[in-house]
Amino acid sequence: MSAIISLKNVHLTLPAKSGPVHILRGVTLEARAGEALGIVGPSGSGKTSLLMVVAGLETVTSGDAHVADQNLVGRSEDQLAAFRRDNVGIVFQSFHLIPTLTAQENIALPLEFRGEKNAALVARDWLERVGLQHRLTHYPGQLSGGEQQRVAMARALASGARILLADEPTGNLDQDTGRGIIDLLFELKQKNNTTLLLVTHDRSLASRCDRMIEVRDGQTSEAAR
Amino acid sequence: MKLFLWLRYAAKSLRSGLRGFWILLSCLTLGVAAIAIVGSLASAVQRGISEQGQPLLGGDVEFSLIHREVDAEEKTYIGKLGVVSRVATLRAMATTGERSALVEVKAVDNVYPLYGSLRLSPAVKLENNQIAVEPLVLARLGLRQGDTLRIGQTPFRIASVIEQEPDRISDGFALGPRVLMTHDALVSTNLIQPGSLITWRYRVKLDQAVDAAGARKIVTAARADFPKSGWRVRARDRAAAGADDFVERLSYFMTLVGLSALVVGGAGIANAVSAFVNRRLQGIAAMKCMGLANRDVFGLLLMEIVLVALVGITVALALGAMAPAVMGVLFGGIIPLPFTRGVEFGALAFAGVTGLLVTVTAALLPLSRISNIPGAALFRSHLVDDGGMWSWRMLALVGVLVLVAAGLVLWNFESRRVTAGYLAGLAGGVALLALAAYGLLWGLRRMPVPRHVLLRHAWLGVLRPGATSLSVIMALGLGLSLFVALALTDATISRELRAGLPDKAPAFFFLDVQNAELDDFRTAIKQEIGVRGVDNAPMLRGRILQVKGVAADKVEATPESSWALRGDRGLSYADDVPRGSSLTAGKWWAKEYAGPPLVSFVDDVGRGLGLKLGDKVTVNVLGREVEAEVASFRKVDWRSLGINFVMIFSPNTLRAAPHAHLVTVEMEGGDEAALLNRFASAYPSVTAIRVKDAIEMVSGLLGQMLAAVRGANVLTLLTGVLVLCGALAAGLSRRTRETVILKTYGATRRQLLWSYVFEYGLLGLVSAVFGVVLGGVAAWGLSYFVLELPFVFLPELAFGTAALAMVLTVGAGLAVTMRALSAKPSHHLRND
Repeated sequence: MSAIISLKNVHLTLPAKSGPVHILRGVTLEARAGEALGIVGPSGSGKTSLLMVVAGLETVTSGDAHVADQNLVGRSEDQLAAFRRDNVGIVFQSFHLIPTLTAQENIALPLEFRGEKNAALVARDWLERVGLQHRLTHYPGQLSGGEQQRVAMARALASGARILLADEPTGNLDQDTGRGIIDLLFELKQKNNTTLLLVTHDRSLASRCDRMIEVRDGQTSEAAR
Repeated sequence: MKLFLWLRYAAKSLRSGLRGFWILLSCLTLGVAAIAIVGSLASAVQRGISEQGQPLLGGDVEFSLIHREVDAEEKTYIGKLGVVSRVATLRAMATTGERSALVEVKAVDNVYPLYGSLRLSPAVKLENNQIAVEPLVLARLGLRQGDTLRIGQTPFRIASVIEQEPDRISDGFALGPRVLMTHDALVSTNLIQPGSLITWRYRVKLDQAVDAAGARKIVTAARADFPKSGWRVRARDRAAAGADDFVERLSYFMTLVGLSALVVGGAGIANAVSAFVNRRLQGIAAMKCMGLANRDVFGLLLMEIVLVALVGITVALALGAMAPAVMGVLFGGIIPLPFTRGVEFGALAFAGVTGLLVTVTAALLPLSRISNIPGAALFRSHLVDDGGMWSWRMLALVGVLVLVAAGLVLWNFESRRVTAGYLAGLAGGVALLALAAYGLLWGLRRMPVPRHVLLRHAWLGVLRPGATSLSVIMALGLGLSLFVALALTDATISRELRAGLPDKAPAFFFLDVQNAELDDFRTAIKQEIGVRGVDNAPMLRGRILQVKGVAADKVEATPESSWALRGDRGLSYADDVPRGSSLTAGKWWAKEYAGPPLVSFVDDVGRGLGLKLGDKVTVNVLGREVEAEVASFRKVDWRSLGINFVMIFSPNTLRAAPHAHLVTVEMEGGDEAALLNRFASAYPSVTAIRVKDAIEMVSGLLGQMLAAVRGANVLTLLTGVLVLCGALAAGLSRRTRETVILKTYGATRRQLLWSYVFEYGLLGLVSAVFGVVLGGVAAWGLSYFVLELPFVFLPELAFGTAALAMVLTVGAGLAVTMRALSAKPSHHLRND
C-alpha cells in the first residue's frame, strides 16, 4: 500500500529576531492509510511543527512533502486551504471552536464552504456519532471541555478527512475525560480508516498507536514501544 | 452564491448580541443620524415650501416691479391670465409723536389673498383710515389695538392685529414688523413719490389650473413677451426662494459637519474592526485550519461588520425619518416656514449609503490583516503579523471607495466647488494630522525618557508598540480642530459685526429722501447734536438685462458675482469717485460729461461677470433700457458702511430719471433714538434705518445659524471622545495584564492612577496642539480668503481647548481603565 504521508529530508527554518531557527532538520517520515502514528518528544523538539508541515500550515524550507497524493511544496495559501478542507482534520489541545456558532454550526461551517448541500444534516449525524445529539444548539461556552473536544473531533472528521492530526488532544482535560476522548478518537479512526498523527507527551498514550515516532532536535526516529 | 453563505454565517455569529460593537455603533449612528436628521428636516421644509407655493406666493405667478406700476399693455397681458391681485410693499416709519419704528407696509386690494387665508384679530374689513399690524408694532410703539399711529402724512387707527399672513415669506427679508392697509390708504400717506422704493406685485390666480411646470412656462413666456419690461416674474415653486436658499445653505453646512463627524467616526470604526479582528484571532485561524480560503474568512467577517453597521444605520435613519414629525409636534407653532411631516426617503438614502460606504472603507484595511493570520497561529500565537504593509489591491479598493463616497457627496450638493473644497480640506486635514501625528510620535521616541518613574511609565504608555495613540490623536485632533476652526470663525464674524464697526460707520441710513427736500433735510440733520458727518447719493433700482449683448440669464458668471444678475440692484450716479472706493482700472468721467452713458463696476463683481473695460452692459431702470460702457473698475471697502453701489453711472445717464436719495449720518454721542423720532415726525415720507438695529438683527440671525452649526459640531467632538474611549477599551486587556504585573511587584493603585493621568494628559495635550494649530490655520484661511475679514485669534480659546482636550482624555481614559486598575492580581494570575 502506498504512503498517504510521505516526507523526505524535510527542513524547516523559521526567521527570528536572533537569527533563523532550524526547527526540522532532514525529517523523513511515511504513514500508510489508516495507520496511527504517535509522535513524542520533549518540548520544543519540533513535534507540532511536523504536524503543521503535514497540514500545509508551514511551508518546508527544503525537501519533499507529499500528503494525500498532493505535493505541498510551492502551493499558494488558498491551494493549501483547499487541500486541508478536502483531506485533513485537526484536533487542538484548546479545541478552538468558534464561540459565536453552535456545536452543529461549528461542524457545518467548513462543509458549507466546501459546497456540501446537506451540511446541517451531516453535522447533526456527526454530533450523534460523538454522543452529543442533545447539544446541537449549544454554544461552545455552554459545553464542558470534554464535550468541546468531541465537537472538535466531529468537525475534523465530518468533511471525510483522510488524515487526522491531533495536537495534545487531552492536554486540557482531566484524566477520565481524556481517556474517554482518546477512546472515541481511536474508535472513529478505526471506523473511517483515517490516518492519525497524534502528538503527545504521554508515551503510554502514544503506544496505543501502530507506530511511535520520537522527535528530538528537529529529527525523527522510530521509538521503541 | 458565496455572498449569501457569508451573510448567513455572519448573521449566525451575531445572534449572541452586539457586545464589542458599541463604539462602532455609536460612532456610526451619531454621524449618520446627524446627516439623516438635517437632510430630512431640510427636505421637509423644501417640500413644504414647494407644496404650499400658491399661498406663499399669493398666486400661481407673480410679476413684480420696483419704482413703477405696470403700464397699460402689461396690465392687459397680466389680466388675460386670470384673476389679479395688486399688492404694494415698502418700508416706512410709523410714529406716535414720541416714538417711531421702522415698519414694512403692505397695501392690498379686495381680492387679497388669492390663496390661503389672512387671519386678523378681530376679523375686520379694513377701511381706508384703518390698518392691521403685527403685535411687534404695538410692543415697539407702546400702543394697543384701537390706538392711532401715523404713517407718512396720515394718521391710522389700528383696527386689528395680524395673526397670520399667508404670503409673508415671499416678500423677502424684513427689517421691521408688518403694517397692512388698503391701496387708497397708501395713496393717502403720500409715500408714493417718484423714485420711492416701492415694490409693486401682481399676483395671478390662473384661469386654468396648472401645475408648477405649467406656471413656469407662463413665466418663461412673459419674460420673452416683455423682454424690456424689467419685471421680475416668478412661479409658485419659487415663492420662498430666499428662505429656501437659507435652509438649503444652513442644512448644507450642518451636513458637512455631520460628514466630518462621520469621518472622525471612521477612525473609531477602524479601531473597532481592528479590535474585532483581535477578538476573533483564534476563530480566524481555526477557520483557516478547517480549509476556508482567505476570501471566505474575509467575506464572512466583512458581512458581520456590514450587518452591525446596518443596525446602527437603521436606528439613525429611524431618527431621521421621525425628525419632521417630531419637529411638527415640538416646534410646529413657532417655525415660520411650512414643512411636510412625512418620511424624506431621498435624504435618508443619502445618509444611509454614505454611512455604509464610510463603514466599509474604514473596515477594509483592518480586516485585510486576516491574510496575515495563518492557521498555524493556533499553534504559535506569535505567528500573527501585526504590522507590515497593506496590499496594493486593498489600498486601491479603499481609494476607489473613498472616491465613490466623495462622488456621492459632490452629487448630493449643488455647491460643487465649495463641497470639493471641503472634501479636499478634509482629506488634507486628515493627511496632515496623520503625518504630524506620526512625526510627533517619531520625535517623542527620540527624546530622552523622563526619569520620574510615573512619568516614564506614562511616556512609554503613549509610545509602546500596539498603542492606539495615533488614532486617538487623529480622531480627537480632527474633532478639536473643527471645533477651534468654527469657534474662531464665529469670533471673527462676531467681532466684525459687533465691535469691529469702523469709526466712521454711519449711525443711520435715511431712504427715500426726495429731491425737493434733500437740501433742507441735510441742513436740519447737520444741526442735530452729535452729528459728525452727512453723506448722500442718488438711489435708484434697476436690473441688468444684458452683459456684452448676452441675456442676463445666459451669462456665465462666477458664483460670487452671479447675485448681481438676479433681481433689482441699487444704482447711483456720481460726479466723483465715492468715498471708500478707489479705481483699479480705467478712468472716472470728467465733470459735466455729456457723452454716451458710462458705468463704473465694483472690481470683483464686474470681472466675475466677465466684463472688461469698454464692454457694454444693458440695465433696465424704471422701464427704460440704458446701455452703458464700462469705463472703470473700483475696489470698495464695504466694511466702512459708507454709501457705495456695485454700479455707478455717469450723471448724465440717470439724472433725469425720477429718483430719491440715500442719506447716511455719522454720529458721535448724541441721542440716536430722539433724533430718529424727531426726523420721523418731521419727514414722514423718509424711512430711517438705524445701523445698530440692522446689525443686531443680522447678528442675531447669523448667531442662530452659527449656534446650529456649532451644535452640530459638538457631535464631531463627541465622536472624537467615542473614538478615544474605543481605542482605550481596545487596549484594556493588555493594560489589565500590565497593571496586575505591576501590582504584583509592588506598585500602588495611587501610583498607577497618577501614571494613567499623566499618560492620558499627554495624549490630550498632543491632540489639543494639533486641534488648535490645524483649526487656527483653517479659520485663518476662511477669514482671509473667503470672508476677507481680519482674523481674530483668541488665546483663551486655545488654552480652553487644550484644557478641554485634557479633561476629556483623562476623564474618558480613567473611566475606561478604572476596571484595569481595580483588577485583583491573584485572580488574573491564577487564570493565566
